[in-house]
Amino acid sequence: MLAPVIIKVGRRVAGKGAFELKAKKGLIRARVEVSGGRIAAVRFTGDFFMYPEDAIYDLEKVLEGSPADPDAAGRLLEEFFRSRSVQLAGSSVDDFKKALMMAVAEAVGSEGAARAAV
Amino acid sequence: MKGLRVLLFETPDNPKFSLAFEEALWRSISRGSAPPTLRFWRHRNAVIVGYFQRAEEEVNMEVAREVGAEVVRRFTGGGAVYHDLGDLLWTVATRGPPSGGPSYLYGFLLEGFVRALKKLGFDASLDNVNDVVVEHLGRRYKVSGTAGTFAGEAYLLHGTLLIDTDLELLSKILKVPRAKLADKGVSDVKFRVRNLREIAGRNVEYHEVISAVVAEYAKLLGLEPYFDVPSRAELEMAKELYERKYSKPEWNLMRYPHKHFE
Repeated sequence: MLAPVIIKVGRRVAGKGAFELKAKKGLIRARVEVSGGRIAAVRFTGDFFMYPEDAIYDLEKVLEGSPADPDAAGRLLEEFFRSRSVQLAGSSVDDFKKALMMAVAEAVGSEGAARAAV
Repeated sequence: MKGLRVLLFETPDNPKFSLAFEEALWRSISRGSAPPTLRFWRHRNAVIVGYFQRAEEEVNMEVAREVGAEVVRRFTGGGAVYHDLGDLLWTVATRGPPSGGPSYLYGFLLEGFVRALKKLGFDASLDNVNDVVVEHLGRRYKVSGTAGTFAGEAYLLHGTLLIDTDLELLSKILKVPRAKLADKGVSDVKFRVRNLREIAGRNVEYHEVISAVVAEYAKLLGLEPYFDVPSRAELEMAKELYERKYSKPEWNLMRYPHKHFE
């Protein structure tokens, strides 16, 4: 039996991934969309504390357009926290890194599956 | 001695305006145009989500609709909370040290609130960064959750205090993420939180709590408390913030940044 083709021809082939991580205090949820080997969109949501708050949008912007590779994304995130004076309360850079890497890995996997189905 | 302004300023039926006023207060403190301030306020029926949250991930929107609870986003991080008139909201906003950071908020400032609860006879302590728990018959119950922000020398810490809230509705209206449940080893949010009235086994009156909180913050900050109303400028700013930000679904439900509304 043929596997159902879920992505229509002509539509963007995209993969999605999500990961929820419980930090010491707060939940970090990373959602990632990859397309053409690049990170198309990233959203961090949850009840964590980051100061200044709007650094989260800068971080997402830095990641968007970068290679869809868990290790590369993790390094980019670390570099962001190193170069900016961002403070966290109840969670760590590693917590954000892990959530991101897991979500990217899942998104890459799902993009591969979608391509195979086209 | 400088003063500590005490505002009993609430708009319980308009939580969106209420949160807009809270941001106006924060802006006044950051600009240095407002004195150190304590605010006490309530909402009749509202769910307030944190700045980094998307409402649909945290709130059972269907339940919120059924009971007519408004969903409003605040400008501070942290988690979603349900507010009714049995939940006393409090805010402390002040100038502080230039690089006090999160520890000035959740260490120094929050300690004032813990001391107030102790003064009222509760075995209160700080827990897990930003919560206040009360020990009762060998168990610890969360009675208050807080969130705060800082920029330069300006600090704002606000929190809840469960006096007599509908915990049944609270547990139905808030979604508790699976990762969190696994961590706490409990199946329902309502088993971890408790009302002060239940713990005390008596009526805990708002005026008792307010008096204790005012007295402890006056001591902590070394300021003489006085009662006041918001300034005209703060009310104007709140109105403007309400109109362009807090009344908008993009703000309340979609996790858009501040700059989207400027």
